[in-house]
Amino acid sequence: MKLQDFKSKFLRSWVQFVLINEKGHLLETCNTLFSFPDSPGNLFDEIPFLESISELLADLKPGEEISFPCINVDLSDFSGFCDYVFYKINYDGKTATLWILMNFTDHYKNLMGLQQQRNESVIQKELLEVEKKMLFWQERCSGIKTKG
Amino acid sequence: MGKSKKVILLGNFGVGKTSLVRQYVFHQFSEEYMTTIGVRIDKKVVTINRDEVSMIIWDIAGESTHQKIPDSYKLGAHGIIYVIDVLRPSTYKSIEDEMISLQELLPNAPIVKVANKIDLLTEKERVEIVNNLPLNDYVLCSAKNGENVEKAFYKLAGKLI
Repeated sequence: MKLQDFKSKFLRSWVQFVLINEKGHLLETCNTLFSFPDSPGNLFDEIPFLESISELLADLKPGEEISFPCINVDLSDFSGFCDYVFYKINYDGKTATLWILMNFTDHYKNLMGLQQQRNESVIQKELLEVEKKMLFWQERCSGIKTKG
Repeated sequence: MGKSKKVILLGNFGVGKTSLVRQYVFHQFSEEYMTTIGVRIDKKVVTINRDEVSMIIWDIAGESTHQKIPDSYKLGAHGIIYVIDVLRPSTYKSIEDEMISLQELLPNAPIVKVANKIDLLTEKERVEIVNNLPLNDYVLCSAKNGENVEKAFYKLAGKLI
């Protein structure tokens, strides 16, 4: 096996390529991460993410790309976190969109754990400060009432 | 199918963006705080004056400023819901700058400001805190009990058609 073969084998396991025509119909897919039903309908109608970017994809020029990092994916038999990249390409003489899904679930889950800890401690600290301020003002107010 | 509109939810972390979406789309609420990473997309179709609007809601991981969020998340957004937590001043201290910067970036996208977690306040505290918030015209919401959640999204949907 050559280096290129190892590289292809490694990349093949975590990247899915999907080709979509301009109307949103599936042309081809490698089914690495998930499979589409036998006769999928219009993907722009069936996948909300694609529906929301259909205008952007229509405006994409050949050779241009748009990327979306860290998408929470829940598609048929796959659930995880992927980076998406969309390219406008020429396929069989027609313009098509190449949708590349890169599975970074383990990496993003690890990041999520760290973010959870950071956020919880920041929120806790802020709420304690608010509580302290409220107690201070309550004490001051009750002091004024007592004096009065 | 109705008109498709991309709606982005912005605001600091822990303000309850995900809880608002869960309440709005699935009528569910969880007390447990679970951070969002990246973006989660959900869809809800609403009817306004016989017009169907398909709202594709992008629940984006919270950041102190939208400038830390990838540009592609905001690209092509038709509307914005900006969420603050009424108990945490850090979540609204820069809201004026955020509004200006968002209006420059997405000049045609209406913004609905949502003040969440009002269930944690007494009536008296509500009045005091709301009067002291920078800017005005907030929808006071509780993702926990559902108060005004529909109203916030409906308000934005109305501006999108």
